[in-house]
Amino acid sequence: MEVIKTDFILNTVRRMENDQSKEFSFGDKKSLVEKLAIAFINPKDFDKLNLSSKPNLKISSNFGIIIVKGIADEDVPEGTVLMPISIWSNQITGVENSELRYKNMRVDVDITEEKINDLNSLINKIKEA
Amino acid sequence: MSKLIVKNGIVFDPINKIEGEIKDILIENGKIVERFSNQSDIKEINAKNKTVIPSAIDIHSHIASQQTNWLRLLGSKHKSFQEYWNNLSLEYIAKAYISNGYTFILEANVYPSLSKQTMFNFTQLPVLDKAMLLNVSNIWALELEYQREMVNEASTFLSDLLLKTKGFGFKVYNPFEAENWNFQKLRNDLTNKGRLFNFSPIDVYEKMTKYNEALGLPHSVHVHVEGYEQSYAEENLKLILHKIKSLNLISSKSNLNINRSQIFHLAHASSYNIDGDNSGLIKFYNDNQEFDLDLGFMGFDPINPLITSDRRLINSLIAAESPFKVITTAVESEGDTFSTLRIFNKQNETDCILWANSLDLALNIKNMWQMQLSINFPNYSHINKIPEIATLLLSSNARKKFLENLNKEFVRNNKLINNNKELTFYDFIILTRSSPAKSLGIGTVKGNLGKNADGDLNILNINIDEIDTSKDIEKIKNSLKSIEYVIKEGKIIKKDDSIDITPNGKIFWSSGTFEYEDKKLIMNRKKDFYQKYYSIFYDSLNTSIGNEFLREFN
Amino acid sequence: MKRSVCSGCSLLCDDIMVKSDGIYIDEVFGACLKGKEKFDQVTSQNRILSPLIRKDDTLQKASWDEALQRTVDLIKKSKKPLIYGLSNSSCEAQLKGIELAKLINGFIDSNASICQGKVLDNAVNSGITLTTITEIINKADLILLWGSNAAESIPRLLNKVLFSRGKFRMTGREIKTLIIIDPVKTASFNTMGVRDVALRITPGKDIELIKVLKEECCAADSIPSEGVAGLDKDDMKRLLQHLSGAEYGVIFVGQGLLTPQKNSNLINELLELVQMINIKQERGRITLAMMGGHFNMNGFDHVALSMYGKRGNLHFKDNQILETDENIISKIENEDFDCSIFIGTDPISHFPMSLSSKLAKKPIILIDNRNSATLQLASIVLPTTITGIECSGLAYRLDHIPIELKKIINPPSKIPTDEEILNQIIQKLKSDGGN
Repeated sequence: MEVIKTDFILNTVRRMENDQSKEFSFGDKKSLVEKLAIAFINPKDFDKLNLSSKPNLKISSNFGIIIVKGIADEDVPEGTVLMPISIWSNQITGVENSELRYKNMRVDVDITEEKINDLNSLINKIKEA
Repeated sequence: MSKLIVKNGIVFDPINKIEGEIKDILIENGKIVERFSNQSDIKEINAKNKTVIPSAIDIHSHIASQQTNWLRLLGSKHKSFQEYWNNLSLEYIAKAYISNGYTFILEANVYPSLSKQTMFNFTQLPVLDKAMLLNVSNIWALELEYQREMVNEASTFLSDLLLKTKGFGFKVYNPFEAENWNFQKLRNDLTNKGRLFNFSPIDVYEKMTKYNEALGLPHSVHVHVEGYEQSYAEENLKLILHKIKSLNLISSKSNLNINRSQIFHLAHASSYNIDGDNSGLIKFYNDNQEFDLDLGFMGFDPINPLITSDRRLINSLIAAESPFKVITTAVESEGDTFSTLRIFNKQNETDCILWANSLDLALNIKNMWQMQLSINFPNYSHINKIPEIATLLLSSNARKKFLENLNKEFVRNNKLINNNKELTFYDFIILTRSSPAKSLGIGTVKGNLGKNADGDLNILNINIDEIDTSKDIEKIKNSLKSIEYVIKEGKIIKKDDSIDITPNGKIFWSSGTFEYEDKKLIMNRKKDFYQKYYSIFYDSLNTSIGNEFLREFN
Repeated sequence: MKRSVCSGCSLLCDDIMVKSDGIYIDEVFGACLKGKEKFDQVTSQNRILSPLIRKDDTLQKASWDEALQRTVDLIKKSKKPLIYGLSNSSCEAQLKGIELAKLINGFIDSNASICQGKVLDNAVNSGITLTTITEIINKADLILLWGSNAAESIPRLLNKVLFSRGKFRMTGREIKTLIIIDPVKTASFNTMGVRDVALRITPGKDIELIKVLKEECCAADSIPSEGVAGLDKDDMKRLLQHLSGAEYGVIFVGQGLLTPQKNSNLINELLELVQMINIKQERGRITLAMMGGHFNMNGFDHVALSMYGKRGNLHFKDNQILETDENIISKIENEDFDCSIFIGTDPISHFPMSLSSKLAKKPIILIDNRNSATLQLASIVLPTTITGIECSGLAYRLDHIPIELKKIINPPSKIPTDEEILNQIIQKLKSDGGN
């Protein structure tokens, strides 16, 4: 059996279709999750991870863990996970030497049945941290 | 209704030919009057045994352009810059100028596309009145006009450009040099046609002088000669001066008694004869009264900013391995700019020559009204060096003392040491006050203590009649260093060490007096040009700056 | 129908046509999706139109008087206030923001410092050659998008610089070469033609590419035969040929290049590379342009430079500017603040969880015209007008060209502008006897 590589590079980006500022203005709590609590990976990685067997991705970095929906996108290179910049992606970004780290970070990716956090639960998490 | 009387001062007011007369100056509602409308609420300053002079005017500075911000950015890394120039903040600039008796300042180089930044900065530059010159020497919209003259068409456009941007006049600076896109490419002959344009740089100098006079602007065309501080500038300077002379133009403003008589203003004239031989330039100016110049004094500061568009100078600094970095910008097909820092050194012979050139010109050009004291702020000197510069002009002793610390080779070769000529205090007032006002065409209201002029004056705590300005160097220096009062439009801006920066100054602007029947047609053509080749519409150059900041002058 | 300037992004297009009677906007022509979205903000269903104050852990509507008084009370209690944002405000508002920071002895910075401001910070160390859009339109024959997805972040940029015809580029697109260096095949790749060069670099390896190019500039044949950073050797040679052979090349530096690297300064290396190429260049020049997202990201830098000689990170004490090595990130990280004021920005969406949780522990005053994650945590929310639609002001385009934004319609519910709110806070603080 092929060893599944769970070691990925995370990149956070702005995309017109997945824009947090747009969702806050025109969307609702549901669309926020749909448009932002997602991660794009290469279809080959999608298959390797057997993502169709479980609904969500669990992405963990040195800074934190987040559950999001995985979406196959052939424009994303293999080994990369791409997330729109938002409160979700920022659960796993961090600070090093007083600078923000939000691109080209090593992360572990796994499939999971755990649920995706909604905005309120993330806000509460921030409050309670 | 505010009234102020400055009583019994010793007044120097060259525009009105007043040289050390004891008289009262009355200011009502910001203007100088012969008598007050009534006798109530008159504020009085006793100026007995003190000297009263108009406020000073800087005819050539770089204080409110985008490039000044690049200097600040570069300077933020250098402690000597931060300390000596106080980060060159707008408030600091205003305070430094006021401290030295200035209330009017000309920003001499603004690209039209960046003029809104200058306007915004002007609104944040307290107290001082100010104006800006637009640099149009790389304007592609005037390509045909530069090629074929077309005075009416060009003047129509330029007048509208001044109206839109609220500019005051025009600067000519290395025309179309930026169109050699490679920074290392230097041109060697201003009479050659360009790589991309079917006219020569000298055409632009010539045509802009003509347009400027056709427009009837307060100031003449304001010219920087290509290759400054390099030997290349010498021949260019001769070429340009003789070309302009051959046009046989007379100033469109010469019919008015205080208005300017020159058709051509040479900026920081000290920069062009790098061999130290100014005899040709002096002779030319003594023979041709329709030219004037500012002197570009060097102050030997610990560190100097440099804003320039002169590619040759920048290349020479880079070749000399200047330790300072350069921020280069290419502004909307209106020209390239370079911002950097540098250090002038009293032990460097060339720097000494540049320093001496200003004095050589000031002492040997006969007509004081052809010259203005400038320091190319902040490129050549801090404004705080003005009192020291004054003593160099007024006293050969001061000069000799200063020379002791300069490069030995320079001192051996330079004739300055043998020149015992000294300017009078009256001459100094002409150079710093009256002549800049006249050259800028604002002599009716500035640099003038006559009736209806703005109530802008300095009171020096010194009795000029009782001292020998060539001997009492320290007294003169101190009186200029700590000017007792600076008054602007009747308001006390500075009294001893306290400076009031609450009042706003005005932005002087002019679109000239030119009218042309086909204006609409021409402007439509120009607007089409912008629509085709510019990132913004021509109309977007229009500034919406409030009227409360503006003062139109024609 | 009137021409107007769009504040949808930092391109500040002045060719938008707007049909409006001064109260309603009927139609907007010529704007891109981002611009359209900006205009749609006016009537966005989620827009906040009344001040909000947090009571019993929920935001409740309040009067302006009450909200401003609460704001002033919070500020007066604060010893170390932070002010951050202002990249979506006019220069006039930025001036007021700095004035407030001075008055309350606060620390103020704009979004530029974690974005394009980094390039300027590095320019101080290595110099820089900048360019502007008219230059690119008329002269550029090489456009390099490096770590920047122009098609989505500044949607009309390529229309203006790539698909236009310029004075010396009359053949338009045909004569211009587009190079994209990006790990992801972004939407911008769709604009590529046959002669263009797509370089899908390994994520995070830009620095290796730059270093090898620098070596190649000094001594030919420095490129290893297996290539570098996932790029083929021949592709790298083509890239360098384009850079050193262009008549007028421009590199658009995107967010992809601004992310910090361990042990090396990527931007500095890039600036040095450009300099080396320009010395080698025989035909023309290579220039840089930055791609700030917010419409006035450059404005704060210019305002702060002309007022205090500093690009960002202004720290006031005793109403004087202080020298500081701190930045907004270190201030939050070290919890060196006791209250934060955010203007036109949403840090909770943009900062890592570790910073957000620290921000949440102290009162947050939010001045903004849109709903956001930060709003969910704010103690006080002061809604404002949308600059460029409901109020006018000066802004700096991505290439540092100043552009005036115009008011098109009156704001709903008479809400004030950023500048007015900041001014009211300043005046109230002054009349209450200051801090």
